[in-house]
Amino acid sequence: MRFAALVLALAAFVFAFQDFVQRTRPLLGRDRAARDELARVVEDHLARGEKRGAPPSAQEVAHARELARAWRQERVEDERNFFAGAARASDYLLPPHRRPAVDGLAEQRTALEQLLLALPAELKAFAGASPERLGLEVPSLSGGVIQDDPAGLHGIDERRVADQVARSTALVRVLAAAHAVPNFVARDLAFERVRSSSGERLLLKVGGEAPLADAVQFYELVLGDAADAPPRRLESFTLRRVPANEWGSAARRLPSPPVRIELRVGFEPVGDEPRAAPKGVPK
Amino acid sequence: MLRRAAWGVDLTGGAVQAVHVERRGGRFRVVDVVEQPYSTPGDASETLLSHLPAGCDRALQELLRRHAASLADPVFVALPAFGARHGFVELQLSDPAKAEALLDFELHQALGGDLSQWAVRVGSLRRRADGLGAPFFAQRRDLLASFLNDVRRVGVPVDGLIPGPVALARYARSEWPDPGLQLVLEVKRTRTDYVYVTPERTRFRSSPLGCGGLKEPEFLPRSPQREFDELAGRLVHEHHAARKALFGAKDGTALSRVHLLGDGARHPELRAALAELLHTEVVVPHLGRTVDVAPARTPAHASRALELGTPLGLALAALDPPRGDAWDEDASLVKPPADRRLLRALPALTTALLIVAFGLLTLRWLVARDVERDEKELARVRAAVAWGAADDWEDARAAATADAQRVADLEGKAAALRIQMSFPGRLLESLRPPDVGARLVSLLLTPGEGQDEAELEFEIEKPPSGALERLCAHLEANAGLSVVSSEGQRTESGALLAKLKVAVHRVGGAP
Repeated sequence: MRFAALVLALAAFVFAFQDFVQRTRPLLGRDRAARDELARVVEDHLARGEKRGAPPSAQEVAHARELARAWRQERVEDERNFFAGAARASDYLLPPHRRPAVDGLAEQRTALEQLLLALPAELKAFAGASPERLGLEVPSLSGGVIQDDPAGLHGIDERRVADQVARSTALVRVLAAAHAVPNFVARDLAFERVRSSSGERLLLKVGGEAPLADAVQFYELVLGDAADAPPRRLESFTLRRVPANEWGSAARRLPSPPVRIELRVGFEPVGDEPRAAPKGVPK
Repeated sequence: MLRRAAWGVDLTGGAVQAVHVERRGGRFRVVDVVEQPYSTPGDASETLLSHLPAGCDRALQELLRRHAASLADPVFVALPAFGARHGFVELQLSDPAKAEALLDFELHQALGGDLSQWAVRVGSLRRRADGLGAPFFAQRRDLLASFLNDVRRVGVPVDGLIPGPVALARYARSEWPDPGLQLVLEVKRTRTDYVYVTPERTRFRSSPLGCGGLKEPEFLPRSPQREFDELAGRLVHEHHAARKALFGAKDGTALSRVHLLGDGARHPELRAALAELLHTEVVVPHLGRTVDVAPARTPAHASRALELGTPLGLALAALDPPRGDAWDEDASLVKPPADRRLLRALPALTTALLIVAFGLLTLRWLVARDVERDEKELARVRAAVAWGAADDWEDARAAATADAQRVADLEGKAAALRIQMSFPGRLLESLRPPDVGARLVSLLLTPGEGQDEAELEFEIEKPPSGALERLCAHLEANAGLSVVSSEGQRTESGALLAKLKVAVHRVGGAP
């Protein structure tokens, strides 16, 4: 009887010990971890409270989010105005009322090809300017710019198209200004690639001769508001009186003594700003 | 609660008398009684032997057969006092610390010099008027071993061995703690124990004379008084001899009470004859002070159980042993065998295992509850302080700051472009009045970080004195610029070539 009771007690002990090893000990570890985490959270609360003060109320957070939303709207509005409604450089190939053309890449390609086809004729006004010197890839009548990609690498093609877009839209604005000023004699037209800390930038250098008033008008037209080119940035502007012995043929074409100008213009990048709203700020 | 019970077994006196007693708090309950006579009917005396009497082994085997299960409890057996010595060592000093060595010396004196042949038990020191004193009991080791081997050979477990009269005195002190001198007279079948109990000490003597010659009460003759008177006279005679030997001839202490126990207590005639001869009240126990009998027993059985003084004293000594290391005179002369100790330790071990198992299971329940409470507390603490709101607030602030910076950047660019764009026209306009007399020859406009810079060259024909200064003042007043430096040169034609470095004001032109 006593031995039977001992055996039963031993069995109960083994069961309890096994239960302790399999369940109670992990529970003890979990309990210890919970206590440690609790202490850590409390310490974290204290540290954050000491560092940042009391957390804001729900009303304050809502107000802050409202202000952030207002700033976001103002930023979007300013960007729309600054970039004339364009979200990417190729948008300038389309009229403003069709921007942004999210689904119109093919249409933009078509517009680019048409522009590249039209530019050589426009460039005749600038002595020495040719599509090849300006880095323009004039498409053939049977094929577009994209099909000329020899390796078929889409990424490289995209970069080529973007480069053509940047060059052609930049030229459009200068050509429009040159045509708008009747007494402007174009002399020089070239693109420059300038490397800086912010990346590679495309600069347009244009030179010519015109009476002083027309030179200023040309200058203002090139830099002024336009919906067909990215916002411009003045790099330098030089205006110098042309000595009489250098007037040449300009003396017959210009109504008043000419000045020689040299304008270097950069273009603001379009579409390189992060568009996603940060966490906590609704769009 | 663990049940504590013990057996008290007396083999002497012509019968095996055993009681099974349970301890219940401060009281004791007799749960079983065994009486198994083995002496020859009519035999009223026994031979003093160092071995078990004849027939005793059969009676013991009967006990074993009927009560094998309960014999797992401690079994204390009465040691015959034949050949034993007992007495009281008196020491003429009052310091207990110095008494030990003197006590050992006195024991050597009392036991003939060589203590190795004796199993000695000494009672605790007690104060007397003239010093200290301690009772002692000594039995020869060969007699002790012979008796123990006989009992164990039969199969009866022996966990404790106490002299029968000492056990009887233990029972008497427990039941009748009265002051004065009391005589406990246990009349068995073939022997009688005379135990004189005072509050200070115990004296005893045994004689091989019992009541075995008497017929059973139901078989007694019509006028048996003569037989009782004769037995009572012999008992009283033995009492006087014992008293004289134990107390001295000059001792005049009166007996306060005589307790009649054993087989002789069944005969009221014997009690009456003894009372008449002793001139003292002779009582037979019917109701115990600390001992009672299981309710199933009849009153006769209950009374009979209380008359078994030696077995009851053995059981009381087993259930209430001396505390600590202090051996008393009723302490056992032997220790229980290891297997018996182990067997008795099983319930404690079982209980300990069950307690541990229960504790482990309870621990899991407690820990699970604690984990649940801690995790709830953790969730509550995490939710109590809305750092998420603070993060949202920080994010909103960072986004608004970035947007504001971008807006300012765009506005700055637009404004700068407008200023740059309008500067040449503004400059020409300022030169238009005829009194200025200066003609723009060269212009270099370079955008700067905070403001635009320009290098201007003017040609002034027939310049009056101070023309350069006037030109500078005029331009600052009308062209929206500040002259940083100016330099004038005369040309061959007499004109003045003015070279100016200017800073273009960013005034107006905000989008």
